[in-house]
Amino acid sequence: MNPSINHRLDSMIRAMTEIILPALGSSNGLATEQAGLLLGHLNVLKLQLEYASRYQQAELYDAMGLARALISEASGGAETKAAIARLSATLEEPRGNYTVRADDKLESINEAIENIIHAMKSDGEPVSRTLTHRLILNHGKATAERDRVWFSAMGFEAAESGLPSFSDMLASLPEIVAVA
Amino acid sequence: MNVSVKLGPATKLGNDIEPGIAAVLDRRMAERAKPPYKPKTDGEIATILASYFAKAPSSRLMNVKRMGGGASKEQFVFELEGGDLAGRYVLRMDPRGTAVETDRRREFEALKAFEGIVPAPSVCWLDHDGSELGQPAAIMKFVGGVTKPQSIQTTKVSGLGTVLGPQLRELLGPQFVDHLVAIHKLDCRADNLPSYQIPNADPYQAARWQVNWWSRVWNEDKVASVPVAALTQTWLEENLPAASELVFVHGDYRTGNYLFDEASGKITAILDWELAHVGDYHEDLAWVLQRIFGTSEDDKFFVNGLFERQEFLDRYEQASGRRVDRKTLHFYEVLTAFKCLALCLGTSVKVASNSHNHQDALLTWLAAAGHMFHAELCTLLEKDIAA
Repeated sequence: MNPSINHRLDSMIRAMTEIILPALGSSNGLATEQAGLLLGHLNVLKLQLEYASRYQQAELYDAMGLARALISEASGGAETKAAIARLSATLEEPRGNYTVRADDKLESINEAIENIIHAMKSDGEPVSRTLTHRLILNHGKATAERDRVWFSAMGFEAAESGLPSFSDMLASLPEIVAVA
Repeated sequence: MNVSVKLGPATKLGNDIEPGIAAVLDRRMAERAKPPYKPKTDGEIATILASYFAKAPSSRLMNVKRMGGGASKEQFVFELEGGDLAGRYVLRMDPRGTAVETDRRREFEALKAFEGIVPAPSVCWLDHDGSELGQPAAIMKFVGGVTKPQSIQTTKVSGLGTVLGPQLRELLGPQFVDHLVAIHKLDCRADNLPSYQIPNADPYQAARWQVNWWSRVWNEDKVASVPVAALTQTWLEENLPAASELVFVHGDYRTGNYLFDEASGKITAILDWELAHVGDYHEDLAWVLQRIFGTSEDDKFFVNGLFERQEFLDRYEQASGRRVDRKTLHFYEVLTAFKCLALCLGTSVKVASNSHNHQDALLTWLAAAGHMFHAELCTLLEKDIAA
């Protein structure tokens, strides 16, 4: 039986903490800093590992939700229409192996959404443009908050940031069996 | 003397960008194809420096040592003993790829221009194309001081959320404003700044150059599409403010980028001039106001750990005699958050994935801060759409 990824991360963390960092001492500032960063990265990876696939699926699920809303609300001239058609096609494209292609699918959708934003600048209908901007910002707020919690162990967030806890964020992720 | 510009209609965005910056970005793209960067050891740097200072045979090179921190530039401290050059110096050089691609010549000129005006490292030698030192580099005199109080322990990345406390706040705050005002007073058309171009084709060019600079960085560096970033790009293009006055902009003016003497509370050097350019003074103000550089203490938020937001703006207006235009400030706050997002979620990841930096692990760590700027952009743009 292969050792689990978790066990391997644990053994690396222990080696960094108990052997490598003490051996470096303070004589080599850059090496000590880098070793500290590696230790930090390993700890964050360990925290995220179990949930990474589910997290990725949730990102995709939400992007698809935004895409559907934009297809329904966006309107305008020829450029906007072409961008909407491209997003619809991207959404309907078969995904093949789900786990392998979740990231690729997310990127295709986000790219097509960006294309709509640029097209609507050119010939989007004004009221529809304001509405689509709201949809994009609402989606952005939710994803940015989730990403901040996902990486909160990296220490950028102030204690009073008001963000949900890591476990609350995980609990709020949609239970996805399969995404079309 | 500052430069006045005539008001006129906004011109089309196109590719209008400061020529000096366009050259930096072109060079950066040419470097992309190169193999991974191998950081040099202290010994290798000592050999390079010994060869460089062979022109000063009466000085002996000693104690070459890499300095910690900084994913933007590599820095080594060294000493020269004997002769006219005796002293302690810092070698500041570009790795192959960096979180912020800039021009050592521009930085050199800025440091020279500010000698005697604000405290800054005294810059001595320049190798702008790396023909002598291996990578583009400048050498400056070492300046003592700290970027954060040594007594206050923090796990945060240096320069982010530095808690200064009430006593240092009182001492550093007035200097922080006065030095910024002094920077904005410099004659940016002076002969000693030949690498800097003036955005005076029309009143919107200062803002347009910045939007095009950072849009190009994002477009070339993004590793994943972010719809809010695209929305921000279109918003910036459609909301360019007219600059009524052009000044010398530091570009990265914040706590963490100045050194101070902890005992006296005196600022000993303003650092990191690499993003300096001629532009709108609101740009530096917006940078100072970025939430990531601030701290929360006693239920109050202090920008740069120094002032509450309005107090900082009031003090700047008072000391400079300028008026802070809220709409222009808002534009530059959006631009600043976009710039930070591009650097974190774009350039940092791209450079690390090419193995072109000496601190790839730090760059991929910093990337995560990009989500704070994503959130900040949503908040800032939401206000605008609601209005």
